[in-house]
Amino acid sequence: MLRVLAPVVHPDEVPMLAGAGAAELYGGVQPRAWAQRYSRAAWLSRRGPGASLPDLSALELTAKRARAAGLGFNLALNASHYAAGQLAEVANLAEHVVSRLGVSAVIVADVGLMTELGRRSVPFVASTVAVAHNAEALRLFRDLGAVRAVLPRHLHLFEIEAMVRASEPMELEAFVLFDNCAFEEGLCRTKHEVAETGAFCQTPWRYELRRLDPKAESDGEAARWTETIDAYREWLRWTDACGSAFSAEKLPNGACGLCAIHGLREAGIRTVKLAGRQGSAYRRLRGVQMVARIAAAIEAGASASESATLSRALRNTPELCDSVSMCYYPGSG
Amino acid sequence: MHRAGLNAPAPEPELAVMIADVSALDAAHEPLAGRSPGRVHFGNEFCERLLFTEPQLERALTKAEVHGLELSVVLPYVTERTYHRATRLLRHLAQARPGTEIVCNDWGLLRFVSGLEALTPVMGRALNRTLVDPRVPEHLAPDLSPEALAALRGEALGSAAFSSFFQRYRVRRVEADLSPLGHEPESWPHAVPVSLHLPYTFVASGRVCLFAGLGRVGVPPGRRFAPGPCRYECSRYELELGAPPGLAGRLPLVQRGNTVFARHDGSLDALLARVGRRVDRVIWSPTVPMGGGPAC
Repeated sequence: MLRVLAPVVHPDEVPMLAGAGAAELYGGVQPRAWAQRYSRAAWLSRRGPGASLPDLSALELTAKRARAAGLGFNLALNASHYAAGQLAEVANLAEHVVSRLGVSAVIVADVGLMTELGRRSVPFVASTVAVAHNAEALRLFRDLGAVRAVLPRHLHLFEIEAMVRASEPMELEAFVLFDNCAFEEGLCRTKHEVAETGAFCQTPWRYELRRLDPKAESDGEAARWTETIDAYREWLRWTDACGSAFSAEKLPNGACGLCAIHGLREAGIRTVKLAGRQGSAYRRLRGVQMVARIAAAIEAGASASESATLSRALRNTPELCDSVSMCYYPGSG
Repeated sequence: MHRAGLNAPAPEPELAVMIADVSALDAAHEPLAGRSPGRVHFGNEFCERLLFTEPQLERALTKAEVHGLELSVVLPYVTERTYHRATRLLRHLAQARPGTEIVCNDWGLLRFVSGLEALTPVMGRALNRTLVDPRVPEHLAPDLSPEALAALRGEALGSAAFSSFFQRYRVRRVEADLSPLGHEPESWPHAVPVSLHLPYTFVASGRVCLFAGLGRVGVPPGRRFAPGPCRYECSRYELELGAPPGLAGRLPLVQRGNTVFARHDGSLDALLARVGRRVDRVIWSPTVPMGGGPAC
């Protein structure tokens, strides 16, 4: 059975997301004590305070409402790394939220934290930020105690299939909507929201070409690079939200893997995940509705081509689908 | 156990040279700023398409021996298919050169190497997730409290949990970059020695490749930069990244292939002066460290 995993940033959103078809929720938190100590700079998760539940009481209420609705709730503690002095503090928080506040598991990227949580028997999911490109990496996370893992963003479907075939059963999550990355998220050692600069990858860089062999200039080389960089900038724009958060029909734009859900299920993936914690509640709601609709059709027996056709019809922006610019899994549709 | 006094001068770090192209190995033993390298790091850290072949590895082993250099073998992060190719090379190496250091930039390869007693696992810098955002010193750090700044400058590797991790996977050494923010000296690991890469700090990497797109004219942007076959455009070009003053940091940035690096300016001596006492090896890259591939 396919489960839809959705981001939540306020307790009041739980009934809405559950009603839209989410089977599980996840989110971040920025406890006041942490914020006072480290300001807005050292985040507890890969997304900033604006994309997180504001405090532990909101977290507790969210977990409680999720449980009442029959949904699990995982807390993201997936900063790329925690300084050695912070690690025990974060491990204590993880233990507290799981044992006392009703959180199902924590989502973790730092293998030091994984090691510590494994020692304490705190259930955790290996975050996409931890980066497992092969089955043996999944085994390492499982050694440390991971109960599940989130796949990296830039794997083709055939690579996921090979990975799943090579690994002993371990539950995996794959992204199917929102927030693609220019780099692999766990291999990007920059921060989002650095003052006015925003995401490192979305900086409007000026590129200056250097030929490693100065004598090897080829005809039309500069023009080819200009065209390539323009195309790359265009792709970058689509990874975010295509320049517009919503289509004319008020459906959320942004990285999309709807038509790959069938293939993911065939590959053995059972949890399909929406990124975009920082998006508006409406954006996330509409996203959950779209993903849940496709997942339900597949569970009802839709074939690969039928689910792809349904995905295109649901979006109703064939020009976007044909361009594959927005695709999480280009080549799968 | 002998412990040097706190005021004793730190021993000079071992000097290693990072080489990805076998042909460049003949120059690897040449002195740098009056120091002779004793070791070569051979391989690519960031692109599985640039993983060396077995003949290239054999040539590297021979050349290192001829020039009297120790050899550390460097591996990138890898998907399933390349993982199996890499493990075949590693099994061969375990028999041919037991004791060889293997620098792993992939958790799966680290786990595999830890199970081969004949090889020595090293945790590469792509597994070290310390923040090195080159924009932070100018655009964020001035507003931070000392505690927040220390958290951003702190290495994760100094924790007891990481010591336990190193023990579990037989990690004998870890690699780090010179952070533009500097480092909290007490956060370096105590359980294992540290190698530091100079002068290029790895900032961001991924399987999407701007350079590969150069050879895919006419392909829609969504597929054009996706992981897949390329013409090794990174062997011919690099791109310097510039931005309006309000958006960039002080360090120059350069992209080659799928990876962006920040370059620390200054002589080897000047950079060595910034290295903490816990660093006992410097890995010097004469060029942007993204070479390799079947033609090299």
